[in-house]
Amino acid sequence: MAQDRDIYLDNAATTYCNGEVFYAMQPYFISNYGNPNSVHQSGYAAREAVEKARAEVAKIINADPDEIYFTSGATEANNWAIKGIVWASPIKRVLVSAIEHPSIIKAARWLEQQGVEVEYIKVDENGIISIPDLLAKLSKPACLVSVMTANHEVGTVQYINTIANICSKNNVYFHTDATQALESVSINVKEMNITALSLSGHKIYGPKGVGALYIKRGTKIDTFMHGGHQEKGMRGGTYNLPAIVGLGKAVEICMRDGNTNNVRMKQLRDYFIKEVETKISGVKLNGHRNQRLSNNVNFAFRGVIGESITAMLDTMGIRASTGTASTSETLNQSYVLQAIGVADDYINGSVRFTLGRATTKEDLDYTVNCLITVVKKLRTLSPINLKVGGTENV
Amino acid sequence: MYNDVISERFQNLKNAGMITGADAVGQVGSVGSGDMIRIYLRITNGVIKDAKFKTFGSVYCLVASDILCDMLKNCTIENALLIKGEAIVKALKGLPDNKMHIAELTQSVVADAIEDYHKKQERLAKTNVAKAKK
Repeated sequence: MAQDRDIYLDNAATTYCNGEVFYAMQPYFISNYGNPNSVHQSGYAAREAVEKARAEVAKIINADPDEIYFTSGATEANNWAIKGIVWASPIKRVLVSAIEHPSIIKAARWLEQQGVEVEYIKVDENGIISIPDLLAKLSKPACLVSVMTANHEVGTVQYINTIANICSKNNVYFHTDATQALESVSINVKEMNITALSLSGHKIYGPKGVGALYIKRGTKIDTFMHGGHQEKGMRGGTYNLPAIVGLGKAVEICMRDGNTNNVRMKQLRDYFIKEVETKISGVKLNGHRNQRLSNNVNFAFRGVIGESITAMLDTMGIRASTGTASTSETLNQSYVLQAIGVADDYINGSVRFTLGRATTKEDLDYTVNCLITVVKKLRTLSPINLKVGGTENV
Repeated sequence: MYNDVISERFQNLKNAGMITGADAVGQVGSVGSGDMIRIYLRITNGVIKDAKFKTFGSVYCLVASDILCDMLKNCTIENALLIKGEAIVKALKGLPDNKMHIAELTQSVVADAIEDYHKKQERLAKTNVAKAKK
């Protein structure tokens, strides 16, 4: 197999930094390196760049620029949103979905240790939040509901508008982690009654180490990062100027090219799903078939281990993942797949392929061929009886 | 991510497969736990002449099974029971902390196979006695 190939199908883990973004950032390392808080010409120029980026970030979710706070990424934004809102509220009860990113789940567990009541909203087999369960859990007062716009592992996109409206009617703050969804899902925080929203640079072809939290004006939230008086005293720490400029540019490109990219990506995604499903048996598509991110494909292969599939694909030049980068290092099964009820003989065989702007149809054809070889080989190694219904193509 | 021994061996597994009419079969682990090893042994006069495996598991588990089969070949069944998990870990040039249980699995799958061998021998002896009585 061609060793010189390098097919990157792990764009949900991170994306490359777009060239336009890179060049937009460059001057802010070398020449325009002022501190946006300084009261001299260098500082003013830097401040102007930060505010331009803030306006772009605000625009993509229809927020006002003064509602955007820059952070070190979505993990910080998520931690801040959930902890800051709980700290500022007299009601110490939070509802989060069972399939949130670890930066929400683990923050919620930490809050539980501090005496906060946390409840996990159920999801169905496609990864869609159960609205009846949400309503039932809202019969008791809560200060915050946090549900991600789209899931990082199985790609399911939630009915955010419905959830936000329910929260608004119940006078509960609603936070959504839009990290994976910014390019694929259109979000309007004003129309949708969203209280807080997290986003990140490196999932949208921007730099790593930068993100933002949108906080609706008037929201009661405590400071998370104490320090200088940056971000109206809400988030201390010197501005990461080049990265903030990069985030602004990445968002600008998302708004400019998003539709074109999404249409193309959806076609490739559906082509890849169809190819795998027709050529390999004992395959299950995890997540919702239509209500999913335009670049996400997550398959479970019966009777094999996902980790072995990705290891073999890696030797063939294909970079895929068994789920989240942060959870696949441990032996524990994916809590996302457990929550959506994937059966035991499938759960360990799950592989996530996330397409990107650079993915081509040829890349996917090659991947399908390699996948056939790999799954076939691993199944011959497996002691599990693989007699699945229908003809066995592989 | 994988060391040179593991990645090289993973691409050239030598003992994958099964032995039809094996003298002993051992199996440990479960699908739910994510690691399952089955080994097949051909045994003549108390010496393991051939060993093969079928494994459902991670790269580490597949490679560990393969190396185990190498170690088992030409080993007496008495000595096979003395192959410790540490020897597998050493041959693999180490295992990550969260994969250490694989070493234990390789140890117990041998014990399971040898137990199966003795049971089969006992059954065989009984049928032979019965035949002789006739």
